[in-house]
Amino acid sequence: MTQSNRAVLQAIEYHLPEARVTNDALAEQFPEWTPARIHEIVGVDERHVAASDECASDLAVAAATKLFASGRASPAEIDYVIHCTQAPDYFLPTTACVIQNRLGLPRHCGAVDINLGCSGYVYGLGLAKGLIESEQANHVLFLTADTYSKYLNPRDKSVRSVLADGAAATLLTSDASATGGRLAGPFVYGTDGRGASNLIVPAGGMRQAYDPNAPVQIDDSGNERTANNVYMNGAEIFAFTLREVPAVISRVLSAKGLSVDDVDLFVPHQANAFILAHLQRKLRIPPERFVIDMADCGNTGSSTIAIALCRAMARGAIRAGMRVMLVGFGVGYSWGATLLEWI
Amino acid sequence: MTLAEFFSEFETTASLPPGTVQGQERLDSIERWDSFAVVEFMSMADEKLGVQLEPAQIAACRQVSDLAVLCGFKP
Repeated sequence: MTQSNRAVLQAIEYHLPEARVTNDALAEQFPEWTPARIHEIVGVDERHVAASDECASDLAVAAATKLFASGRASPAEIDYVIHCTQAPDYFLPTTACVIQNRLGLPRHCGAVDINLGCSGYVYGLGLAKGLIESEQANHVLFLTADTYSKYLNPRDKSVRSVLADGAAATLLTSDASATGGRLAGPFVYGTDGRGASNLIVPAGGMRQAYDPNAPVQIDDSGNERTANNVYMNGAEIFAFTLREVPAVISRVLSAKGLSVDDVDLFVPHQANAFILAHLQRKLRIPPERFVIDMADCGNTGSSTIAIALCRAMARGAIRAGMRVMLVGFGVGYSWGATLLEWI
Repeated sequence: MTLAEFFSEFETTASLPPGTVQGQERLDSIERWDSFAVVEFMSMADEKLGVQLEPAQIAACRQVSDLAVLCGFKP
């Protein structure tokens, strides 16, 4: 493989919807909580929430528009768009096709949706690398966008405290002269569908139809939800995280003959700051090399890594010569990790 | 960690006043023993006791002393 067809992450932009839900607002609705307690247990102070008529694709288009406005690429250069979402506009057509038209991308552009959440950014980068390095595409626009707020039951504090809406646009190119993060790999993946029921929106697909009269269930913690809402078993997700995240990091490092100390920055999926802080201590990674950056935006699913990475790039935390590990994990269960080398 | 220190950790997790837990307290009677507290407890057990607990094991516990046994303390 020649240097000219190595995939490079060249730029990221993101977009968060305007409306916000603060901890003060949540504490008002759930009097057993204080804003300080909410911060303590999830590490989030506010979440951005899409308007009732605002879809994930609208957020994705806004993020892509920012990317094009930055001058890093023009719509005419894009020859493939990957859209990762769990909140598509329609069952059909593919939302990526709608986005192709809205962004004015060329008709020779490939377009595909992928349905993944917390691991989606790593998977999408893996697909983009495959497209570029097999010479199927030169400029991949990788969009991640979700509106989890639309699945939330307003009386379910277990998910309202952490899940949020947002989108990111990532430009990947085969340009050998580009600066950015070379997708060095390896890409290490994992799946365990036994965990599917621990983070799920049961109704709305083909298995169980959306039911406007679905009965309200109340769990042991007093949270209310119906089958139309997202359900998250936090304890099971935490146990899964402890089992799989250290292991997948280890697999990436082993494949390259590296140790934790050889990685300059870890950018994990921003699931929950409490859980991330636990992982950081468990893995004995110094906090300055383990990004936790979700206080003002919450867990936006497949966009969290992109947003955290974009912010790290913007504040100069990533420089040429650095090795950066991305780790996605969650709904599915699905997980993946990879290394980027900054050039 | 001693059993007394374990009870102290539990008090912190469940937002209970210091020195109030003896072990026989029923978990379903503790207001702050919610899904977040369970995750905090699992984190404490992993970090301070080196015990990785499964949620089903915790769900089977009826009182604080059951959690202690789960974490390796003698009944």
